[in-house]
Amino acid sequence: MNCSPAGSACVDEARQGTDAVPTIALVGRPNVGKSTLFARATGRYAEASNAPGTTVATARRRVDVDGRPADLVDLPGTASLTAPIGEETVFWSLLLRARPDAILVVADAGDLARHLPLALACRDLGLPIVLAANLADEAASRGVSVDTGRLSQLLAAPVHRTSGRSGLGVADAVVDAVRLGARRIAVRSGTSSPRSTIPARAYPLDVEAAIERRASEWGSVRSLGAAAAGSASWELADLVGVGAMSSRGAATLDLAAIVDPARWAVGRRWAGQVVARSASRADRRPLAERLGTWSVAPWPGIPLFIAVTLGILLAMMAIGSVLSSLLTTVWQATASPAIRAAVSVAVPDATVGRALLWGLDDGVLSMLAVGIPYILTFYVLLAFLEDSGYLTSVAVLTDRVLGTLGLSGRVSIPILAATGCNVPAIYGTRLLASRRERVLASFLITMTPCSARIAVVSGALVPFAGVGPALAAFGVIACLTLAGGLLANRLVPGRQSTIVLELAPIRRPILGHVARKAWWRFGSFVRAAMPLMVVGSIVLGFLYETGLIWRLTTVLDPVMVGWLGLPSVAGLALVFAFLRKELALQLLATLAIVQLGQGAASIGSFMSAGQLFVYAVVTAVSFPCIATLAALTGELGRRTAMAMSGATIAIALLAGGIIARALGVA
Amino acid sequence: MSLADDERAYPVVGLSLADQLAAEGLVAGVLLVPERRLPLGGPVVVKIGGARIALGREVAHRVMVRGVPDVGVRAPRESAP
Ligand SMILES: Nc1nc2c(ncn2[C@@H]2O[C@H](COP(=O)(O)OP(=O)(O)OP(=O)(O)O)[C@@H](O)[C@H]2O)c(=O)[nH]1
Ligand SMILES: [Mg+2]
Repeated sequence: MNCSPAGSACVDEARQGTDAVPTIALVGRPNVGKSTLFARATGRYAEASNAPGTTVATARRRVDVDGRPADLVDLPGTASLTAPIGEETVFWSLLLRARPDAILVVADAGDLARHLPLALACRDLGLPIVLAANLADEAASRGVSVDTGRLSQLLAAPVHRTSGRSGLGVADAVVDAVRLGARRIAVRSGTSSPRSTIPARAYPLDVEAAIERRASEWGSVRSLGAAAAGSASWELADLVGVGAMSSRGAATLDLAAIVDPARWAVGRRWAGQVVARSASRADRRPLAERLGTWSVAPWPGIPLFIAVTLGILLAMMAIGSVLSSLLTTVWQATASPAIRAAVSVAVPDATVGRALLWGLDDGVLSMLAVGIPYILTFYVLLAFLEDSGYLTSVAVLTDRVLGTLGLSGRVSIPILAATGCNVPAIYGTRLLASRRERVLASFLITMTPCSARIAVVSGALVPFAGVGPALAAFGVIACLTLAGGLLANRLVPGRQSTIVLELAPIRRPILGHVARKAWWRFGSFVRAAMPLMVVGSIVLGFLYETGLIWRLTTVLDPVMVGWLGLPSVAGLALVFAFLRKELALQLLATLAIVQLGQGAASIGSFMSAGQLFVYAVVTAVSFPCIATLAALTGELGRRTAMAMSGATIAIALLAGGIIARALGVA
Repeated sequence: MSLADDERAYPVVGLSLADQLAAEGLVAGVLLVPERRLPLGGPVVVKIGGARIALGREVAHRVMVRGVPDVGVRAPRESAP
């Protein structure tokens, strides 16, 4: 289940859990490996990327720990408990709405000084914590070792060296957290005698005294009920009132401004006591680190960025077209004859039979020819890029350019993700701080071609017009997106925020992970797209076989034929593309297959290269698909979603008509 | 309408810049190593401990350090110990 950070769904979901099942929340700074550890502990894939902000919603999974059930909750990464998560909520609120009984704090073993403050903040909430000194493999390879025993004493909490990747220590850390969580439940329900949950004092005396004073105020809230909270946060009062958090915890949240600096000082001091570095290794500057430095330098960073972008597009086109001919050959040689035979036996009516074949044979074939090969290839390349850690470098490099669009470079991370699929990218904007930024970023995302639209452009242009025109089409689309962004920046009032972003370390992507992620995304794509594709093709088949299609197309003809210079059936495919963008080309291909015999190459026989160019650009830029529209509506409201859709149609039609005239097709 | 007429309550969620920087470890007393300043008013990349952090120019201008003649102008030299 997806629940928005601000939504009440999380509360309901959290409260559904029976009280006897301990809930363990995973808390850590962005990109420290929480989701990888979560996936490892629950034995099921969870999306992970080497970039901050991968997880934007709460995910809860039931696990079995030594025969006892427990709930693990994965949360978005955060720099502090009081940091805003999106425009409406702060992290502690999101965390406490999950009703954790214990917190598994995930920290970077190689940079404890930076990660301990958050662990201290969690401990101050009054909940039991377990520290996972994660990324232990990376720390070890850099010659960093952690004295977990000593750290455990200092923190008064279990500490484990873990690696979500290899699984090292993960089970032990979870077992400890569940044990502490279960004990807290027992204490609260009175079946066990309480043990002190007040953490040892670690901060300077004046800070401790201030916490003490504020805590006693919160203590009275607890006994008098929320009404006494006065001007303080009602939610906090509520949580203290029901005992979900100690009054000391509430006090430290209130006083974050003075406690946080103290936590950083303690973090540095403790890290100094428990971390050892082997001198010989520490001196070496690994290649990855040098790559990280180069990647944000104008030289060679900018040429590298251009090369990476072009390289990905070219690789996708090359591999995609090879895969395309391979898949179509296999389908035509194996499944196609069998399906045709089966339909001719099972369906006596010739018209119905032919319409069914539109979906079951031609529809699937067109998907294999122009959709799947490019989308699958692109998913692999994107997963590779995401895991390399390069995305945050792109964010730094593009900060200035995105600044002219009213956005900070941070937005380039969801925008790059949008090239896979717009929907998760729109959810990804939740972590942006202002609504203005969310609106602008979401608009750019809707204009960014997703893998399906990239497949339409490549599949339409590479075989019938060549790689050059395909690249030119991407260039035109990029310019239109930029123009749309500039316009939106003018129209939406407000100030832009500046970038404050921790760069992800450059890592060599692990092929197994890349393949797994690409396959996982591809699986959800096929599950969503295949039924629509087959049904859409069958509907189109009926319209075609019964001749109704020509009546429908006359409605669209003034725009499609008159303005864009396209054949009238193309207009129908474009309308169907609202369901899924790849339908734009696949239905066209199906039509071509039916009209002109099998082989996707036949699209070229009823549309010229120029027409295909116009068609590809209009499809890529116009109107989001229904899933994107739903995401936009859910995240930003119907009016904004409609305005954005209208704007993209206007831009697409305007540009399409002009290009059609320039190319002499209209 | 004056602001005071509006009876609605607004939750305060935004952090001041100082808090946001503090959450990235940019607190008084830490050592900061400038790595790179991007051209045309682009961000500045600094190292704090093991982390590399990109700061927008407006933010970077407000970080005060001692003993560095011109923060971010030069890439740091890796000198042999
Ligand atoms: N070397 C190594 N890499 C890891 C380990 N755990 C995670 N990673 C990598 O670290 C990156 C971040 O992992 P995620 O699990 O997405 O991190 P997260 O904390 O969930 O990130 P956000 O959701 O963005 O806050 C990915 O590229 C992982 O492959 C580990 O134990 N060792
Ligand atoms: Mg995550």
